[in-house]
Amino acid sequence: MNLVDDNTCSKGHIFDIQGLSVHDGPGCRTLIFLCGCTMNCFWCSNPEGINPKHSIMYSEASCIGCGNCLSNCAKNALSLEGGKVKIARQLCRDCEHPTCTADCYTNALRISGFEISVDKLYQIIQRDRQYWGREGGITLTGGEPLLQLNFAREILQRCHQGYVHTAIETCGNILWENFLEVIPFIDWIFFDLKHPDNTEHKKGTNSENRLILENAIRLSKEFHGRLIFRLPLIPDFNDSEENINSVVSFLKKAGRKEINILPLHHFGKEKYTLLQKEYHGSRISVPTDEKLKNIREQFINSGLDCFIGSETPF
Amino acid sequence: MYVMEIKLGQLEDVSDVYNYYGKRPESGIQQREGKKAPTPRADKARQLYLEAKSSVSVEFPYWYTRRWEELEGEVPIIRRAEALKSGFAHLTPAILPGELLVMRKANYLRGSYPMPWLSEAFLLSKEDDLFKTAHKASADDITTIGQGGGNVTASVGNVISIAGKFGLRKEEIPILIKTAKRWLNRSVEDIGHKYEQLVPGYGTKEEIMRAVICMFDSGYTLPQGREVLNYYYPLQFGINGIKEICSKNLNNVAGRPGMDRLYFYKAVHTMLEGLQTWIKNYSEEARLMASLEKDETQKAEYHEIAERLDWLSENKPGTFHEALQLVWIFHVAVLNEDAISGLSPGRLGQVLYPFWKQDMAKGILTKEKTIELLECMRIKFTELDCFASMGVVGGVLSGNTFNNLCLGGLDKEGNSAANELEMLILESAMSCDTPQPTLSLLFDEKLPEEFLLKGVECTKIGTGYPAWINNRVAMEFLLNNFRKEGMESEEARAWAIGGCLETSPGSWMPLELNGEIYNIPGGSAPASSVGVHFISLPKVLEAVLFDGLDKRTGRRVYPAHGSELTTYEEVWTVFKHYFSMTVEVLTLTNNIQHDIWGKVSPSIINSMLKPDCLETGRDISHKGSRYNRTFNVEVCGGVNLVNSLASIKKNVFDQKSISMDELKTALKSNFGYLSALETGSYSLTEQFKTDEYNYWLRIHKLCLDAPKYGNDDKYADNIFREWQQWVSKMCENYRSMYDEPLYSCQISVSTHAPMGAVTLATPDGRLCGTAFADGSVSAYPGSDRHGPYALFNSATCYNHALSQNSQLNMKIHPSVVMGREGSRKFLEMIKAYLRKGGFHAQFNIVDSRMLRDAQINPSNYRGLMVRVAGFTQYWVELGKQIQDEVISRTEYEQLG
Repeated sequence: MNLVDDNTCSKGHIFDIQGLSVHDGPGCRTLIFLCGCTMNCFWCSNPEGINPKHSIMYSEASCIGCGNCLSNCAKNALSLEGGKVKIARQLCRDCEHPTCTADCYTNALRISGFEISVDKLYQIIQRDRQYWGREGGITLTGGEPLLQLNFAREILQRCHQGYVHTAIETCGNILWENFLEVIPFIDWIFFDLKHPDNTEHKKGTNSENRLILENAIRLSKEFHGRLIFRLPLIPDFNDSEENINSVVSFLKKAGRKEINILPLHHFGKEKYTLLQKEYHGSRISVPTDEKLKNIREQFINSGLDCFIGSETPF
Repeated sequence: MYVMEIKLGQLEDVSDVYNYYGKRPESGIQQREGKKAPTPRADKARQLYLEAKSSVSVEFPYWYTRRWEELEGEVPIIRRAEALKSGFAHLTPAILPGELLVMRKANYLRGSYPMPWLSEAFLLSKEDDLFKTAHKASADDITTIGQGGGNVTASVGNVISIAGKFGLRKEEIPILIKTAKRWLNRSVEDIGHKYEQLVPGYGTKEEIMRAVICMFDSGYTLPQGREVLNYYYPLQFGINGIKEICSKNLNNVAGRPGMDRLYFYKAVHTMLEGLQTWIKNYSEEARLMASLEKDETQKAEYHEIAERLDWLSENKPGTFHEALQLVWIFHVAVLNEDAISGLSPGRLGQVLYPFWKQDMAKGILTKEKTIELLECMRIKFTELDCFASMGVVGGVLSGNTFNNLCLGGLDKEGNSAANELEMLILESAMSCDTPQPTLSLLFDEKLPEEFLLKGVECTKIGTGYPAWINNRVAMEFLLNNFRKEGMESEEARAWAIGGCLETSPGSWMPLELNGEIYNIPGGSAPASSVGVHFISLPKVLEAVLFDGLDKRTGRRVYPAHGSELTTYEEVWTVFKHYFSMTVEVLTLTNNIQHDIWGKVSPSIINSMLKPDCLETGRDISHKGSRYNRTFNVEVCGGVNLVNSLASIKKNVFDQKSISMDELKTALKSNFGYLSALETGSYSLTEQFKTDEYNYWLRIHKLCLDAPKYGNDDKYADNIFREWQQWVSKMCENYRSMYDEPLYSCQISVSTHAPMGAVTLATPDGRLCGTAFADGSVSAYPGSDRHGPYALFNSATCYNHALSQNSQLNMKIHPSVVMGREGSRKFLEMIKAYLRKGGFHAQFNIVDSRMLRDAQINPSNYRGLMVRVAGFTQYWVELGKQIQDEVISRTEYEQLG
């Protein structure tokens, strides 16, 4: 079924659509990654999703130093140094229609992120839907998907009307009113808890956790779909026994029965290089299996079901 | 990403960018889950197999030829039967300790032999070389055997390498040469060649073959195969029973019109006598070994083998073990009749189920014992080698014999045909993961979920099998093609895959066992894939762009078309014209070759097995089978053709960003890369730049960025659909020697590498000499950038039942399908693709880094199996070019 793009629907910025995702909701799903985030966690594995629009990525290994990208740059942000392109990131505004990426012969320069209309996105969802199987649906993630509120609401509403199972993965750091606008159209919410202590939270994520914890409690009461809290487990940041106990108390206060642990990984590291940003997560090692086992036991002994990473029960 | 210059730098980040939510194993190699160990008996046999080398014997050809010569002037089919009888009667038996199933092609573990009656030119052209090597090689002059597992890739000591794969004892070389010489001007190849030259336009055929636009003639290389065997007659009547049928029918037809029937019945009878001697020689050997054996258990097993063989040399089987042994005897017997690849046992679990069920009910068989037997059967099938020339063995088959065993599907009444024995076949394929028999699961919505999930478990261990096949699409294809010969939907359900992926018609036959009747499926047509074999579509397009020339050699292949190619339609029209010329001339010449095969070297054993040859008294080359519309047109490189057409349409005509002359010069200049024809480096991942590289960058980028099949992009997909619909219709304009229309077949097997090797750069940005995309609906490596669902949508943009098959190969990282939930979701994905009309999908569940490590350290990966274009094979036995191609395939990787 081909829909006509009527130009009246919202447009949004996303940086990927990924089919055959198997760990972010029931069944095989299509994940939609929305640009922009309210936080800046030092371990983030999607650094290109923090920018509200697109980002320019540069792969030095692919660059042949031909210089074809230089001439058309409106900001004069590019230069050649030692046969490789240098981007003056303070000048580069990641412009709307970058010429440098279009001019690049080897895709060493490329854009991450693009604009898409709700209609176009829904067409893709309709296509993917044929292949999800018995279960499946979409999961909006990012970035923080509710930052582009109108776009997110329209796509969720459209899916809900079309009997598509919907989920979002949120950092929780947005106004409660924004949640209220979308929860009627959402089946599942994955809600990240990063740290129960405000000071520590701010250190690790560059934002406070007050709003997050409030939203968590309110969603527990007012959202009637499935709500799953996720704990990104970052060694030496939030994995102490004491911290886990605080998380347990909070979850009990919210009346929850389960927690999904996402262990730290460094797979996003290469993307920092491409964005020419520093990755602060690399100084930390990924949690050991032993550690994960202990933490799982701690949760289970406290009466909470706990599943780690890919061991999803759905 | 198309070439390594670009690729090496980007390979890691490509997967990161497109799958960034995904989790790569941080370090080390991800192991496949679900791996089980075989029984000790099978493990021992597998070790023996892995240490054995492909070996050639000259016994059978010697005795065959000797008898043939004695019968100068005899009716050809009788002469052939006597020659076969003599060959079988003189095969030296070879039984190995621990074997539960015995008998093999020749007197070596991995034995096979040349069949000069089909083709002797290859052997004689090697005569000088062989003599030289035989003379030179000595114990002191030991050449190392290169990478390649059981392949004898170089001569060593007294063993001479033939075709880069087989070893032959030095002292047997003169016998081989002498035997081969007797067939000069008398082999199917030589006689066929004499007459094919009478076809108008034969010169074009020669040029087509020389340019490697077509890969090989099936008539004398592999005249049989790509078909499903039928074991009904031996299982129902036993050998003596069949002989009685022959005698009775012979009496009915002797002296009556249609006299060829008389000779056919006599030939079958004679040939069966040869088989009986062969079986009895083996039972004698078993008794001899028993007499020498100290170990009491082994001694008893030898005696049991002898008794079983004695019984089966005359009678029908009564138990599962006997039935399986008899199936094996006839499978090997057919393989010894002709050079055959792709002889499939078909739905063996359903054929043997009556025996298994009754044994289980009687309590004389257990599931454990069944698994052990099935594992032994796997080793036996894996032992099979097919002797053919280097081009056919390496280039087309990668040494594979394609004994495809099918599971599932529907029974005669239309209900699920899956049974418990098939569950055990899957189990044994997981515990004893040898390449043969490869498995295909005939998916239907009626199959039970538990059975399908067992299939998923098996797929997940990374063997590449089972391939997932769409039962309903196959039935639609069969009914479209065989209705005229009387096929109805009930019989369409009896089908199976013959060879790697050829939909083949079958029949239900009423097996009686202890008073109960079971309808068992089996093949009922001759080779389902002979005729016009492997037309290189990108090479035809090359000829279109260069006015009928083979640009590699500069030789003229087709008459100049003289068109200026000023519109896309002109390009497409000329392409259709050249392609049609190719099919026309190859159909005519192949018809002659197959006719000669049927006249001078007809099939007797396979004919006897196939319904309804015993009833009609005609062999399979004289339409004795129930279904005979079995000639086809095979093509290779379809996706590169479509991508190239899309690039021409977009860049040259729509956007006019490249002129036709510029494009042609760019192709000749290989986009500024050194030509693989000069460097000898055909690998996708090892291409080298020239000084002109920067000059061609712009055009190369435009070609690479042009719309590509596999991305749900209508621009490319519409061209793909138009091609598919056109080719399936045009095939019907040509008629086989059986006077039936041809159909199209879309498997590349391994031809996408050698055919790519002789083809210039293509307008889609592919570089000279590198492999084409494999299969028929797999995307070109790295060009599908929108995930599996977009690829599925592109793949199903046309009706797959228009062709005998379609082929989708995907490499999947283990983390996508991890755990119980992973199994369920994986099954949902497979089902979804098949429901959408996909005919076939198969999966490599491997980490590409594991494959790269395997290239560097092959000895650590002797048992590693991969899927390439429709079959399973040990990684180390594949050519490097194919290895690179597999590594380059897009890996779908997800969060772990």
